[in-house]
Amino acid sequence: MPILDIKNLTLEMETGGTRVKALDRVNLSINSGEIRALVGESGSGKSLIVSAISGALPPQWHITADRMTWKGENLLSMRADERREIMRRDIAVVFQHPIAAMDPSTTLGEQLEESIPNELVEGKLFWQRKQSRRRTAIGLVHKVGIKNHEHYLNAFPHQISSDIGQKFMIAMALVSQPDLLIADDPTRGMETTTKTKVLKLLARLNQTKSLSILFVSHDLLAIASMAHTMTVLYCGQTVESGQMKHIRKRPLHPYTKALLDSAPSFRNDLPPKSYLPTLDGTIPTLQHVPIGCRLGPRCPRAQKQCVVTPAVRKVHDHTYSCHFPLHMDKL
Amino acid sequence: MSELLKVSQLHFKHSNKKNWLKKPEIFELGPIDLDVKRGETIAIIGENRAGKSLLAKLLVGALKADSGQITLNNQYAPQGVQSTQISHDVRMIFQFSGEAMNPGLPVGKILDEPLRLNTSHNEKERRQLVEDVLIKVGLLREHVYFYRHMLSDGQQQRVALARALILQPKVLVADEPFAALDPSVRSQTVNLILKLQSEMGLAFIFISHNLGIVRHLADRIIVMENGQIVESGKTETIFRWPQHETTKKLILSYQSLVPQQTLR
Repeated sequence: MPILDIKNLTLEMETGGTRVKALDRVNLSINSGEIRALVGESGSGKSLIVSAISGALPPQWHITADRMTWKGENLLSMRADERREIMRRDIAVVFQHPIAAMDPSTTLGEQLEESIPNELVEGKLFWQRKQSRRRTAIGLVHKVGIKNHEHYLNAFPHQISSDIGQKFMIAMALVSQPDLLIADDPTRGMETTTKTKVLKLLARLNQTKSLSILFVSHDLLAIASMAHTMTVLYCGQTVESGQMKHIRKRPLHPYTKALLDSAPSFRNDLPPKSYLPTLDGTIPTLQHVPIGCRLGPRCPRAQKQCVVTPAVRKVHDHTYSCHFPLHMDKL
Repeated sequence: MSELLKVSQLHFKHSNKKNWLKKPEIFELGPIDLDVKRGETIAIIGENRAGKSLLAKLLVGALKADSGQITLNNQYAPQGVQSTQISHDVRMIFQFSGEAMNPGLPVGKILDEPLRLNTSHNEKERRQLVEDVLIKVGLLREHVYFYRHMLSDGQQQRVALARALILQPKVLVADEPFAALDPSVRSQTVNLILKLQSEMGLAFIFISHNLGIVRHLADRIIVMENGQIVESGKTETIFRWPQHETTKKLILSYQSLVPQQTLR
């Protein structure tokens, strides 16, 4: 049974008098102990889904969903304080720009100690509690792979590099021992060695503590190395979702195929310096989204029917929404 | 193939002395020797703070080296004097191409500026050149009137490329040109660079963390650490038989990410 279950999540925002669907019937579910990757290009609404789950959206945007539950409880009809409690205890979020997400006026150590929940602090007297907090903070910092804790705990956010900041954000997220970790592009702009370290850390946490992870990124290489299942998002619509190995072996949606083809690391048959297969054009802006299947104008297999939004179809546990998927070669 | 750009014994020292009580942090780059041939693609890889961007800036002449020399077409380029030849023949693309553009100027003006400063064309000829280069990078003539905020990421990258190409350079230096791009736009840019290289015989030097792209594009790889070139060689050689510790670490961590079935 999935711990987080979202069905037909639609997010509408008003721009210049018209309502635009920034997210259009998005489905996403995360099972306990699973690493799910959420893949999409920038502007596809990945971060919007993260904000929608964490409840950090501005109130003037309209969220509707058939189902949006956390362990069976409806997140949308919940009282604000109950929801806050869930966000505090069970779900942790690592935001996209680690340094911008931290308080610039306090040191990293203070921020980390502040986020330790009270019941995890030992001792009764204030100095014992203070020492206990410090110990926990140092332990956490070591756990995420920062060795020089003395230096970094006393540093301010502007003094550290972005990969240290990323690790600190992961440490801060892990402090309350959550069930689900939402990592919003945790490997952006990192060099390969650091990236591998962060990914290994996440994979280890997933195995040892059976932490579920929603891994939001467009770095397919990172995703392929650790994720179990994958959901592909294009322009606010889920296009395909299923087991990682099935999708890699046989993508059904043209967009997924294009995405996989765009990473040269996946293909050993590709001669060096050859042209990469790619889709024309770029992702449309929200004001100009096409009707029906939003990939329509860029899709090599598009036909007249594509102006109607395709229904979600299912082959075993592999779902896709396309009128002319790749396994039906009847064109 | 003839040597186009030759760098010998390039040396640069940076020390930031903020406080007289503190020991200044000293960063030394070099000495660096490098040859670039016509039509060759060279990738610079390495960890953060290895001096990759610094080397790129020294190559285009955005920074002045302390000692050593850069020779273009076997002509000595005097250091310090802002050499027109260098800025003409060696051009740079910055990491965030969008932010490297003036938001207050339309694309036409942005592209016109290097022509106005470096060539003696009159206004009509310049306009013609701007339109030609826009078409070459896959944009439209009308984009002359566009401002930066009206363009998408991929289009901004194309404008940055157009700005670099407008003086018909021989060498193109790019500081992480693919890092900020989405996968599909990234493949478009890769294809565009490959096409332009085969058309114009450009030498292309780029910095990247994405080893998949490096493997696909580069003829030669340079590995840097702490301001030194620790290893350089043919792409396949580096990927198959890395020698230096840093290279091994980089390649191994890349291999560990690549799914096993494609390695075979």
